[in-house]
Amino acid sequence: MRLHKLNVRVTLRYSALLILIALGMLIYQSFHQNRETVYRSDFAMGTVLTQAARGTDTAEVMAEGAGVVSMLGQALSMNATSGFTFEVNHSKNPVPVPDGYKPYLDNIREVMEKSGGALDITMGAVTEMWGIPSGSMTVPDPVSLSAVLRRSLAGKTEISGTSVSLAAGQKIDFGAVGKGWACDVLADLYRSRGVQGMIDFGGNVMLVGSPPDNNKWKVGIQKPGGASGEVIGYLSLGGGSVVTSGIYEKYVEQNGVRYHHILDPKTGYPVNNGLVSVTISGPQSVICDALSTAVFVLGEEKGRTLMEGYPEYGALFVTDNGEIHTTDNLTYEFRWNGVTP
Amino acid sequence: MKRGDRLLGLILVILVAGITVAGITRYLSQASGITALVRSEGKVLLELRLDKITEGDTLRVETSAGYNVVQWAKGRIRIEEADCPDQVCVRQQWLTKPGQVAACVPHQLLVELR
Repeated sequence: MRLHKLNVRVTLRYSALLILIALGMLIYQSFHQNRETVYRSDFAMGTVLTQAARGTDTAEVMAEGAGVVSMLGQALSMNATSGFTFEVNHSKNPVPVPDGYKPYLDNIREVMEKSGGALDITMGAVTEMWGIPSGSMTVPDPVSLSAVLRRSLAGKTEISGTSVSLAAGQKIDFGAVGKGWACDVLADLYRSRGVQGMIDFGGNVMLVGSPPDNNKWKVGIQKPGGASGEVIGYLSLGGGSVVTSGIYEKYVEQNGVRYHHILDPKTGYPVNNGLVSVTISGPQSVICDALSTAVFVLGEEKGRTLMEGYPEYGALFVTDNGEIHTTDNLTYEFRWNGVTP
Repeated sequence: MKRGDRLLGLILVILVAGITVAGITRYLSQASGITALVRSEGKVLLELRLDKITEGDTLRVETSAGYNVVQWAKGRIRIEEADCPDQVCVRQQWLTKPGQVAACVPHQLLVELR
């Protein structure tokens, strides 16, 4: 009798314990499922968009994001046969700015003005001669290039929040800022759906929320000329964007001379100022993207002056003799192979 | 009373067993493998569970732009060969972890792990 009663009590106790363990497992599982990173890659804007995100309905949000970026890419592309850029470049009248474009155009215009034209999205006629928008670069004939450049420099395209009116001889090319723009659009979508994660858009990185380990995000900086994925160091940051403009990926060679894709708007030829890459980190990807081009064109010294007007943004310069310099107004922690410079 | 105790014990044991089995099944289904997705010009050509591959094989993908050869074996996949000018896709080597991508932009061929 007594023995039996004890057995029941013991059974009860163990059962309760097991139930607790099993419940814990289930709770952990459902939590884990929510936090599990889901991946997706797509072609967009002539490169690869990779999303790695956590949250609820993550796959749906990422699919929607891929669609939104694809549409934006079509609208901004110089190669498309319809959309905003096509309309601007083929219309003599002012083209109204679509809904939602205004803040991005304002950001881009501000960098164009503050950099004294080192970033210039109205020199599409020149980038086209180099085959940059189409993705197959060629070296243009110097005489035709100088004629196109002269006509392009003489124009003054009006970009306002409501309309864009193209000047004769100019063409709009969003190639230097489109990926950053898209990253910001994606980040807004993630935030509105409670999704956290990382977006890697052909080297433009956007970080939304916190990383899986709730620590800091670590973003590797590509080693110029190194194998894909070989890094010279890491940035560790709490969020925002990291964008690199480098001359080691897109280029064309002719008679032993290498011509890369970052053009000086004043000369129409690739920039040659001792820089190999410029990395910008800060809250908004479109501004990082715009600044990385502008700072690259300006060179380190004038680039640093431009950066002073953007206190929330930090810059990292890699020079052709392998040196790494950073601005000291950084709000983020730059760490080089574990050593903070 | 005695009978009730025994019944209660039995119910508890069944409950515990049930929940444990459910938890384990769920855990196992989640720990399932990585899926490789091969898309050409936006269309899905191949979907493979990397852990379920028993025999390695290849797939030749031809488009008007050129060709790529996708190769896979247990736990891994890659673009083995292509006639694109930059060979970026081939240099990506074997993909084994989710999030890894081998992409041939000129031929619009994408191999990704999810």
